[in-house]
Amino acid sequence: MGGRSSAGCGAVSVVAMSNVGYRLIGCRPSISFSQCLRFATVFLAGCIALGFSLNANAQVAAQGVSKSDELRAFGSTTMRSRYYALINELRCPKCQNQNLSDSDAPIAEDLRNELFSLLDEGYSDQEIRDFMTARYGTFVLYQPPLTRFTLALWLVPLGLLLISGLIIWRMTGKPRGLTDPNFEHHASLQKVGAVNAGIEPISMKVDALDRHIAELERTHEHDK
Amino acid sequence: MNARLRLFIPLLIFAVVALVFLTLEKRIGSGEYDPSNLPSAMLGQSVPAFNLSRLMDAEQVVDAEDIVGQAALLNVWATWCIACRAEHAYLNELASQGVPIFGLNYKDERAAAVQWLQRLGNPYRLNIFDFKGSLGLDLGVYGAPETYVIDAQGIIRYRHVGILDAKVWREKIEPLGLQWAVAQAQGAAL
Amino acid sequence: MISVIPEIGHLALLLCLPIATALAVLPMAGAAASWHLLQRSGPLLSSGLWLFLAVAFACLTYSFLHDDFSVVLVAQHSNTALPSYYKFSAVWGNHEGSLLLWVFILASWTLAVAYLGKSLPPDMHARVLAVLGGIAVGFLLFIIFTSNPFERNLISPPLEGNDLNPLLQDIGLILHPPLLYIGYVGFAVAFAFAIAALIGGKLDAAWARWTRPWTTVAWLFLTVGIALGSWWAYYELGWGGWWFWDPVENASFMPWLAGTALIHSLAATEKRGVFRSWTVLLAILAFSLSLLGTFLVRSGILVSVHAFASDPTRGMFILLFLAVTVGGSLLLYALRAPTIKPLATFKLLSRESWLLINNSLLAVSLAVVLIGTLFPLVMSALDLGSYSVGPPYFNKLFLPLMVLLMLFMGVAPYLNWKHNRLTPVLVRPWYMVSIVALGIAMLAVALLSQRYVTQWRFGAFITVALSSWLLLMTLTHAGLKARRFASAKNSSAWQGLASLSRSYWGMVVAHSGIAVMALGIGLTSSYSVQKELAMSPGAVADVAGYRFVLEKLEDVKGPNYSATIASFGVGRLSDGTLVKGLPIRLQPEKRFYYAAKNVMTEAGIHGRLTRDLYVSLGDSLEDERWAVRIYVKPFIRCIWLGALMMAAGGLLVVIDKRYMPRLPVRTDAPSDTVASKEQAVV
Repeated sequence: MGGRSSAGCGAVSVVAMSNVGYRLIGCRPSISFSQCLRFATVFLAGCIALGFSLNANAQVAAQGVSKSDELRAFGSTTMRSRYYALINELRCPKCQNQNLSDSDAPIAEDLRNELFSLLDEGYSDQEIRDFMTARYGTFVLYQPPLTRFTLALWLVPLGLLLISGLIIWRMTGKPRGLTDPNFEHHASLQKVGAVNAGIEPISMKVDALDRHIAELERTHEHDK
Repeated sequence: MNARLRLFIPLLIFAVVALVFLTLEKRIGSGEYDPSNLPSAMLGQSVPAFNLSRLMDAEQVVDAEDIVGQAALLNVWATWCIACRAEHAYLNELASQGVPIFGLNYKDERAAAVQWLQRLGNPYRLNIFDFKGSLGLDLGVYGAPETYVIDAQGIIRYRHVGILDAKVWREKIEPLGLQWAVAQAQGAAL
Repeated sequence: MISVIPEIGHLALLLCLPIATALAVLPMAGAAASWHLLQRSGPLLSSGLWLFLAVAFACLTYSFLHDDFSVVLVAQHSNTALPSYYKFSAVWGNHEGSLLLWVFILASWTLAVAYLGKSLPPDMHARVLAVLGGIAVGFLLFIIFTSNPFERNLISPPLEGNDLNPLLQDIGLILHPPLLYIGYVGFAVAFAFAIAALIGGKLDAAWARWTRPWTTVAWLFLTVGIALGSWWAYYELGWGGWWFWDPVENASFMPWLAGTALIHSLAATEKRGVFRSWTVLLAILAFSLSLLGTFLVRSGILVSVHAFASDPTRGMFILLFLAVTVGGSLLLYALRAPTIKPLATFKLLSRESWLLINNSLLAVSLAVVLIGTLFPLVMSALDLGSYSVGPPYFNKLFLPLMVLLMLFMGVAPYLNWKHNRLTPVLVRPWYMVSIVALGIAMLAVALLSQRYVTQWRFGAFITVALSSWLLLMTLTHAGLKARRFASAKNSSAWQGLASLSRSYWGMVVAHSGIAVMALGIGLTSSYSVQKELAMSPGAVADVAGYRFVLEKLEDVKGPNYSATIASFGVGRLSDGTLVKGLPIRLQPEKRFYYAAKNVMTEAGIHGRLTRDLYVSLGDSLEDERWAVRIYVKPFIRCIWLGALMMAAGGLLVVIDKRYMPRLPVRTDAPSDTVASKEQAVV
């Protein structure tokens, strides 16, 4: 039942989207923008409705019955996901850069067992991390704790992002000194509509001006 | 000129990075630093509490008090550890000099361990039988052999990973300045 | 009989050194003094270098294939029982051999530049070859003095070798290093172009045009190489992971990020003459990161499954080489890079500024990876404690950057050089695409949540929305552009599509590849199911709508190992019952390799684009019971498909008509007129 309704939804959306796309590219006479917008809104509403109805079914479907025992008897699904999250996050103290999940080393096995019993006893994620750190050091955490040194790990990328944003802002401001003789030319071309949808201006005059400017720069270079 | 100076920034960054690498390589070369060895997180902390049986006598129970009170070594060993065999001779020698050595038999079989000691000699004042590795876990042990240096107050002062030999004693343990309850005149022999 | 082949190889290797030195010196001197004869000595010397390296490489390969255990390398890394194709790849499955491969590939690139670059001005051509020769000199010195592959044990050659590391006995080893190195080393060409331009003093749009195809080819090989490495780790290591942010993986990823920024920046420099300094810096940076990667992997300062076993002397040598090459080039850059800003200006809403945004996002990503990789090393060097930086950190920072990148990427094709106005005609497609993308995301997440029986995953929703948005934006632009062409020339829409240039299609395919890859990453992260079970023959496990039945266990013997193979039958469930029996067969193995005494896991994988079924054996428990890990990973193949699409896009760009040999031969100063007449619209 679920499969068939999914197929049905899939078919409807493909038809809907190809229709829109087809019209958009204009192989048929173009429709007005407001018509497009109306169609798209209906499409979106349909998707949302369908999505919620499907999701309602999801809650009802039962978990598959497994006839094999899981290696660890997890008390709940949260405990299982916390377990897997933690063993992926903690580093094996002995191995060559592997987390507890991937490692075959005996110490990794021990630590997984210890982790499991700690989870069972009700430790929180942070308490477990503290437990491991107290014995093996910050080495076993793949995300280092926040100290004044590790702050650099977070601040430097953020700083670089801001600096580059600033640089771009300044570079795209008003041209200082020289006014841009090409700008007016471009503006008039745009009115003609030749520069929509990414077609470059093919005016040779603009290119010739650019070349002339490049030549000026070259001569400037040799003056140094 | 400001624009020209800005262009030196990449070179500067590279110089710093290269310096870091140079320092690392020098320290690896001199043996001071080994990237695969984990520094102990328990340095400066007291020996964790535990309650385990003795290797030689399953009925008797040991706890932290039994091994604290003097400067001593706590040696983590097992019969499955090949390197432990290699360092055993040196441990025997240390014991004969009077250095207190306690053993932590890590995740081993009792019978095999006892036999091992009978064959190769027993330098340990006391051997803790840690079958599950729980004390090992609390100490931060991740393999064998490892040796912990404990002072008279029961604080862990140093953890050595790997085979213990005269060089390690000279360069790492002696500089700690602990009062080994041993004939000081024989210090040179160590 | 003691074979003389290794000695021939050794001699050939030694002879490479004077040739490479001549290549490094003579053409450069010729260019400086304008001695035409010296200037044109480059190609001949390059051929000589390549020939002798080929001989050396062939001799080493011969020694491996014929089990010549008097060669120390063969004794350490091969074995008579090893299958031939692995003996062949064992040549580069170790430190010394892989270095020989490295320098051989460098010589191949040099040869290519020597003969395909004849249309460059002679002084630039000479300088480029000289720089490449210089790099070869450095590596040859390193090989000959610290890592000689031809070292021999003639006194008592062993009768049997140690065997190749079992993890490497795989087709991945045959393909991954060569492809990766072609990419890595290929950035040396861009580097050489940059140095040549700085020395020669001419840094302009023409320079960018020459550098572009070489950089793109190197980039696409690196893309394939990294993707292959990820794929290999996925099926070989047994735990279903495909990227670990391991320092060695990062070492190959950083040049890739720099290379991607470079090919975009080159476009701006070529078309508009802007960002010249920045582009040159990127060209230097890309190769510097390649060298940095080489250093990290072989110096012994890293702990990683991927790292070669090495010692500090080698590390010091590479560090010296790094200091000379990178330090020297950055010094040259600081002294000679142009500081005068070009008069061409551009506004915020323009292709130039968008390329700048692309570059800055890639640069910040690069910084994240670099800082994350170096931080533990710095802390250890300064004795400030032992830290690890791994996936949690990298993922947290990388993801938002990639989201931003994808957002800007979607809008990028719609922008023109210099200036854009936000007209309704420009913006309308964006509204439509956004709405459609949201709808697709809703449907997809609803379907997947139902299929995998979980709650609504918001992360997946964002991913699908973003990926489909990017895909649709790119494809819509192609459609609109084709329509404009068609209406301008009164031809059909299909003819319009056909008339778009290959390099434009390259962009479309490459950007779509990113969308596909992001889709794979997001969906597999959100919906992967993992179960660890204890199973014996006859046991049944239901995971994520599939039933896995362990049918039998058997012990077999391979050429150099013994193994336990578990046979699984897998079938699709519907409402708790099997639909069509157990049509899928999976056979994970646990192998014990005799020589290396190593235990290895081979996973059983059944892959389709929509999901991978992945089973691997853990430890054996009592009574024929084994620990089994079962994974169902949705859409994980999209990750590698996306990477391949990116490489295909790069290939399309390179085979664009403007790079095909119809270009007239230029002798002296380049003229932009020729280029602008020929270029198709991008």
